[in-house]
Amino acid sequence: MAEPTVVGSGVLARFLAFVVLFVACGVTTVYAALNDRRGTLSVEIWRYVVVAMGIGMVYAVFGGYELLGSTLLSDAALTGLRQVSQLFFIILLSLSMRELYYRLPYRDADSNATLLSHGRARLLEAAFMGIVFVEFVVVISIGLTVAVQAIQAVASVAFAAYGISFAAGTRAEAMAGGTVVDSLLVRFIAVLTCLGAAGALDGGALVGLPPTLVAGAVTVFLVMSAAFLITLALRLRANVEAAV
Amino acid sequence: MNIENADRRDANRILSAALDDPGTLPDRDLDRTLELLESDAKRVRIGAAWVFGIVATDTPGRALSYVSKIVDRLDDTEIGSEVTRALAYIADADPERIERELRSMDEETARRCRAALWGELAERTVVRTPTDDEKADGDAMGRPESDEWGWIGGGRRTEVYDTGSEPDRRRPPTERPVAPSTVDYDYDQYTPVGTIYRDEAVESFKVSYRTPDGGTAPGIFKRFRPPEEGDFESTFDRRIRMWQSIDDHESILPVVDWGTDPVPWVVTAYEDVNGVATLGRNGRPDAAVWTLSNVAESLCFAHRRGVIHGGLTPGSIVRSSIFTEPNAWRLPRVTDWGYVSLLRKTAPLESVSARYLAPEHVDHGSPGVVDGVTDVYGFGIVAYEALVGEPPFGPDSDSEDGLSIPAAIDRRFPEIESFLRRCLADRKPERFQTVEEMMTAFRSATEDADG
Repeated sequence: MAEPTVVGSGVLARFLAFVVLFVACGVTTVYAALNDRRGTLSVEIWRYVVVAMGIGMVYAVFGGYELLGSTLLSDAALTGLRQVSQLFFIILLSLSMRELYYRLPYRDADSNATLLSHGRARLLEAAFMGIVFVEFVVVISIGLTVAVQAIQAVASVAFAAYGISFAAGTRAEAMAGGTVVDSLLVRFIAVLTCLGAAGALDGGALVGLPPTLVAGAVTVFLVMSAAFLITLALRLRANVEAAV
Repeated sequence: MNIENADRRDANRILSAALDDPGTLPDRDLDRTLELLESDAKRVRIGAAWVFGIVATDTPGRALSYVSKIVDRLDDTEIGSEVTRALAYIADADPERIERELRSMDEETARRCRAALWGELAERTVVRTPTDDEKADGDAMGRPESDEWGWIGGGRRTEVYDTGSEPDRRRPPTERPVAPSTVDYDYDQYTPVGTIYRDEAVESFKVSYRTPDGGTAPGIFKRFRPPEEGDFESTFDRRIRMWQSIDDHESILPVVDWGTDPVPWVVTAYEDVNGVATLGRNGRPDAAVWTLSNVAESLCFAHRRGVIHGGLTPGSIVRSSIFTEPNAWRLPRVTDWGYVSLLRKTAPLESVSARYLAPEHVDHGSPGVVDGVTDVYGFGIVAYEALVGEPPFGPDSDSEDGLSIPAAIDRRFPEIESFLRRCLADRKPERFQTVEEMMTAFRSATEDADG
C-alpha cells in the first residue's frame, strides 16, 4: 500500500525517483570503490563514500518497497525504516565531508586552528548516532510517532547543515577548484541540501503543510539528488580512467 | 722509503693523540698533519684527513684556520681526493662557519674550495627572470647565452657532470633523481651558498643543509614577504602541505622543509635548469612532447588528489639531468605549487611575467577565480614555449590576437594548434574543463611524435 500522502501518478513518480536514486547510488558506489582501489586520493575518503552510497541504495529500496506495499511489515514500520535509512544516508554523507575536512594533507587534525577538533567532532557524532539508534528502536517497537517524525526532521536538517559546513569550509581553504575533490564537495553539498530539504518537508506535514505538496516536493528533491550523484559518478569515472 | 716510514709513524701518533683528546693536540702536530696531506702514502693522507675531521668535530674553529692552507693543495691531482676529504670533514662539522670562512678568503680560493665541496652545484648561478620592461622584444624567459634555461654554469667540474647539451640528448632517462630527505629545521639552519633571485616579494638562495644521515645536501631556499593584509602565513602553510602531499610523483619537485617564522619560507630540492624554451629553440619536438607529457601527468596526479598549481608558467618547470645518463633528456619537475596566486593577491610578482599568466590572474574581474582550469591555461603556455621556443604572446599582445604556429610544428602535429587555442582561451568555459581531458587531447594531437 502506498504512503497516504503519495497518490495517483505521484506514486509512479516517487517510485521512479527511488529507482533512479538506487541506480545513481549504485554507479557512484562502483566508481568510488574503483577510485579507492587505484588510490586516487591520499585521503581515505572513498570508503566513506562507498558506505554512504550503500545506505542510499538501502534507502531507495525501502522507499520503493513502501510504495509497492508489503504484507511482512506494517506501513508505519516501513515508513519508519525508510526515514531512518534516509537519516543515515544524510549522516554518512556528512561524515565523509567531515573526514575529508580533517584528513586533507594540509590539516593537522589535533591543532587548535579549527573551531571543532577532530576528536570532539567524532564525539558529537557518536552522541547524535545514539539518538538515531534510539529512534530506530522506537520505530521498530511502537511504530512511527509524531515525536519521532519531528526528531527525524530536525536531525535531517541538522546533519545536512553539519556536512555542508565542513564541505564549504574545505572548499574555501583547499584551493581545489576544478579537481575531483572539488567535484565531490560541490555534489555532496547539493545532495545534502536536497536530502535535508526532503527531511524537513517530511516534518513539515506535521505543522500543517498540504500533504500532496510535501509529497511532490520530496519526489523532486529525490530526483535532484540522483541527478547530482550521476554527474559525480561521471567525474569519478573520468578520474579512474585517468589513473590507469 | 725512510720518509714514508716517518710519515706513517707521525700519522699513527697524531691520529692516536687526536682520538684520545683532540682538544690537547698541539699546533705543531696539526701543522705536521697538513704536511702529511702531501705524503706519498695514500694511507697517511687519509689518516691526515681523519685528524682534521676529528679536530673539526671537537673544535671547529681550530680546524677552520687551516682551510685556506688545505685549499692550496687542491690542485695537486695526486692528493686531491684526500684534500677534498679533509675539507668535507671540516665543512660537515660546521657548514655555517666554513661558509663564513670562505667568504673571508679571496674569491678564487673560495671558488675552488666550494667546487671541491659541492661539485658542479657550486659553480652555478641562476639568471634572474627578466621582467616585461627588460625583455620588451618578447623573448622567452631565460638567457639564450646561458648553458641551459635560466641557469648559467661554468668550470671544469660542471663539464664532468653535465656534458650533454640539448641536441646531444636523444632519449628519455631510465633512472630517476633521488628524492632528498625531508628535514625539520629552523629558518637559520640553512647555510646560504649564493643568491639566486631577489625582488620586493621573493628572495631565493642556493643553500646547503645537513641531511638526517649526516651528509650535506644542496637546496633552493625561497622566502617571501607576506602581503600586509590577509592571513598569508596560514594559507601559505596549507598550500605547502598540499604540495608536499603530492611530491612523491617523479615529475613534482620535492619539498624539503618549510616554515612561517620569521617570514614564510620553503626549501626544495636543488635543480639547476628551468624553463622549456630551449627545446623549441633547438628544434627538439620529440623531447618537448615527452617533457610536456610528464608535466601533464604531474598535473593529473595532483588534480586527482585535490591539488592545483594555480600559476603554472615555463619558470615553474625545472629539468633534472640524470648524472648517469648524460645523453638522456632532462626529467621535468614542476615546482612552486599553490602559492603564486597567493603572492599575486596584492601586487604583481616581478619574477612572473604577466604574459605567462591566465586572464583570471591578471584581471580579477570577469574571468572568474583561479582553479583547475587555470592549470589548463598554464599548460598551454608551457606547451607552446616548449614546441616553439618563445612565449605565445608578446608583451604588448594578448590572446585575442591569435596564435602563430611555425609551419614545421604544424606539419608534424596538425592538431596542436587547435589544442593550444583551446588551452589558451581567455574564457574559462572554452578551455578543457579538466586536466584529464586536456591530457587525452594532447596525446591525441602528438601521437605521431617519435620519442
